[in-house]
Amino acid sequence: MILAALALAAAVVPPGPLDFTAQTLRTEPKERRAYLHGSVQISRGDFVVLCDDAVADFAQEKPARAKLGKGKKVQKSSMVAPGLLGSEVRHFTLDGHVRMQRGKRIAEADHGELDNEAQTLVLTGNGKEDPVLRDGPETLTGERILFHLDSEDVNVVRPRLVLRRSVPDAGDEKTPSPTRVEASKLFLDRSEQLARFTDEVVVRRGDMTVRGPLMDARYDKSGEVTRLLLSGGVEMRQGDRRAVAQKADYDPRAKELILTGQPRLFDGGDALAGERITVNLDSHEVRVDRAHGLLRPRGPTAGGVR
Amino acid sequence: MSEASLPPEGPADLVLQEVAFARLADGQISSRGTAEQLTYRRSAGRLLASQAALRLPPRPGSGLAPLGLLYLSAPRVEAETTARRGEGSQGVRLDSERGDRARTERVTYDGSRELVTSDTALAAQGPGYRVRSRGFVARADGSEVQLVGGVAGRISGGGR
Repeated sequence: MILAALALAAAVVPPGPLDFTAQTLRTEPKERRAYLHGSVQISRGDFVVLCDDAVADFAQEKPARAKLGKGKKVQKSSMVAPGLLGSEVRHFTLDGHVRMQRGKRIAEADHGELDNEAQTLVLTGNGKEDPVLRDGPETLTGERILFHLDSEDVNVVRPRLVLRRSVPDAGDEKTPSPTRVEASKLFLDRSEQLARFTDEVVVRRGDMTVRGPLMDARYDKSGEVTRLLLSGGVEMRQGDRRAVAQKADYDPRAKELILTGQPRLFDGGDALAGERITVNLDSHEVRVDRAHGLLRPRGPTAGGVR
Repeated sequence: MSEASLPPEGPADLVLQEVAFARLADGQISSRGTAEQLTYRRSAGRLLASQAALRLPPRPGSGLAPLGLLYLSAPRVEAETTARRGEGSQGVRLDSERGDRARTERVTYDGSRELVTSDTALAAQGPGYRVRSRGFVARADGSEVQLVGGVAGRISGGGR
């Protein structure tokens, strides 16, 4: 759900004024800063950030034409520079219990950087706890989560995702363990409707581990992940079994992993190649289409069979 | 400046009606003001003004300079000239040449500490912002302003 919600459901946050509340506000015009302290809330549209403390950095002064009330005269050529609060906030530094909410999406972190010029929010942890992104039951964590406020894209550094579809319901013994995804980077691309994990992608489910340099997660309209497509050279390990291929297609519903692109299977002394290798993750059954290779029967006198 | 802290009222040394005044600094007029009535008690160094208004050019380079000319008014102003303290009350208004407006019930000025404070609700707005708080503490030169007791407002956020 989280991938689809991130990539589809979120509305673009329009640029414009920011509303805020806090216990105190201290302005220091020379520093061009304002310090918000205590139960800070900053919002624009459906985008809301809460935190303990925030520092607002204001843009440098630009000359602006004087504006007067009724009955007050001023020369037309008079220009006055805007004061601190009249300037645009360029950047907010957010600290302590940072919580971002945008629609159904909630993110929590220890630290945040809200860049009004770039229209981004970057959430980071404190070294002990990473920022967390939640949408309904789904949870995504990562070292660094970057939200693009003017689009619906999200970048995550070292993401870790648990696919809820793969998590067993209470008392469901048939689904022994959830599917977990880790990578160096994650990019949630709205236009392509996919979540792209790159660099050191690892998918784990039970005793199975699949590794590859690139993985695209596809999802259906309900937001459930339907396919994990790994490419660029894939390696699967399950106990003593090992398989390699150019591509791997994992269907969480069918609990099947399909290897294509010169797939090869190594199991004990067996070495098989074929057009396609299908691994059933629950039964551990392996099917090799158009197989050829070496089967080494178990036993002290057994020889190889080709 | 509460009533309890003030010395007993003696007869006024001077009562002026429909007053216009100017303050000189270094031979220059640093500010101008008007008042409906001004009462001065010399021994106590106490000044009481009604419907007072002050036109105040901020010091160049100060935190208030960007606001341009300041127009400060209050229905009642009490001041102790010797202690360099004063209080505006019954609705204090600050307007600036730039278009800023601030309103609060009561403001106290402490000249020895160069502090301006208020413990009453403040509402201020100007080009690109508006803000409310339950009080404030500020340096008189505007180099630091702290809104306290709960703050809410809107500021320009920019964006691409």
